[in-house]
Amino acid sequence: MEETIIQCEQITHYYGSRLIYEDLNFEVKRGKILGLLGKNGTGKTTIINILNGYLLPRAGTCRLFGEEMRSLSPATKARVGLLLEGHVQHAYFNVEQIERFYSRFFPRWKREAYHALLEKLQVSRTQKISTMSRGQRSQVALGLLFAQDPELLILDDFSMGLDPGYRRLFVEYLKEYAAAGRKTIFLTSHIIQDMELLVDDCIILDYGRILLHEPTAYILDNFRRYHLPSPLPIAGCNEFWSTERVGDHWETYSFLPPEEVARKYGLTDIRHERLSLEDAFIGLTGKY
Amino acid sequence: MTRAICYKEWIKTRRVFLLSALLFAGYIIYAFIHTGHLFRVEGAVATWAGMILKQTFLLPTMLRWLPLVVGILVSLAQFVPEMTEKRLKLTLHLPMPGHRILIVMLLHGIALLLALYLLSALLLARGLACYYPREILAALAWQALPWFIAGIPGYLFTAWACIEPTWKQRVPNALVAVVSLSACYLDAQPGSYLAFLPCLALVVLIAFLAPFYSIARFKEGIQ
Repeated sequence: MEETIIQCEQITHYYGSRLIYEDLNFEVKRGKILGLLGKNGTGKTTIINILNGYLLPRAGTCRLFGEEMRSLSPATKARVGLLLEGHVQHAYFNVEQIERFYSRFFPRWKREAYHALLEKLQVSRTQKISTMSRGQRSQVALGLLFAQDPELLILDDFSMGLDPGYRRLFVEYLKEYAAAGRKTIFLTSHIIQDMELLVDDCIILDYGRILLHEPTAYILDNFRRYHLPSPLPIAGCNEFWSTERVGDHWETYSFLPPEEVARKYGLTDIRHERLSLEDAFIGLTGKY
Repeated sequence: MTRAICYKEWIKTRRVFLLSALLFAGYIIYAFIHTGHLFRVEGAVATWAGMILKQTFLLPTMLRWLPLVVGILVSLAQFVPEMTEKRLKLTLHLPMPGHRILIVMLLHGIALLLALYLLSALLLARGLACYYPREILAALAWQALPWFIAGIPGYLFTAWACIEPTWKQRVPNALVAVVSLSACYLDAQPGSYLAFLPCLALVVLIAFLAPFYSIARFKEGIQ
């Protein structure tokens, strides 16, 4: 049985009177890459803040490597690499200074991993981070995480503000890094096509709850969009998502296989298609 | 690790430290010119008599505010970058106890200020020793001591206000800071602060603890 790296139990949180989640439960096993997907305002960054001990939830608890999030020991913090939303870093340092600073904290520091990544950028060692583009900053942040060599990476919206090239670069490095060292990664992103290339498991958040927690392959293999000819006899059925009229036909989404949909509802003229993760996300959460 | 934190703080504060050193250097030069001018225009007897009989402060009065301004500047240089984009999360994520990180950060700032204050005071005392006897210098030192002390809680209270996560709480924090610091700016005879020194020490202690309260609020995610 794989070790549980992240465990969240019965997390309930409100901002003022607005419910963010109620009784949120999930865990992440060692070696897994888990993507947290959700529309704006569903609490993706909130859960990352709770995990790292920067937000006290109304109820419930999270543990990293078995330690409560509010009292992470220095040894556990050294095992966790954290990327803040927007690739925030100590921007007053230059490229060399920031490496020198972080290297003092981590016994397994891999200087060469940082410099190997930075060599791909057109930056000098004395360039200040505040003068870099968002893409360059993302590579500095990633290089620092790789040099730290943590067992768990927590990445908050890693693709934010990056052009397609930098996004692809980020994803490829992450994949290689995770595969090589059986690392655990917990990440959020708005760009779901990047997640499709990367994540083993998905948690899809809706307002106030987890809508779905399944392996990515299961979603891609089983979740389908159906085009139906007439008003549906499926209203109120919880096996279908986001049912709506589009032009002269109806669209709906379901994990049911086509044969079962046809048999169960006596439909003959149905078309169906497999979906990308992004389409599946839209199907599950709706467009609005 | 402590050295690494100090390194980070030095990178943030080195320009302000240099600026502060220049401000003090400028003040010292101006103080010597001012003193020479006093002796030439009013004469040594009138200047000494003013000091001894009327307790006139013989140095340019901007010394009242200079240590406080420098304390606030150093604090802003240290803590505004930490709160910009909530970089403090990165700092607190370092594998070191959070309270120890803050202690090192605060002690770094205090050490910079003490270095500036002590060096400036020494240079002033050395230069003024050419004009005044030891007794007058001692009286001057007693007059200026509360202003120098004010620089330390000024620095700490500014850190407290910077780290505080909400503007709503920053305003009362600033008011508490102003009231506490005003105790250092009461007009009084040289040496009369001697009895008040334990109270000033208490103000410094409270000011040192206040940023820990803001850190606790920051970690609770109060918005």
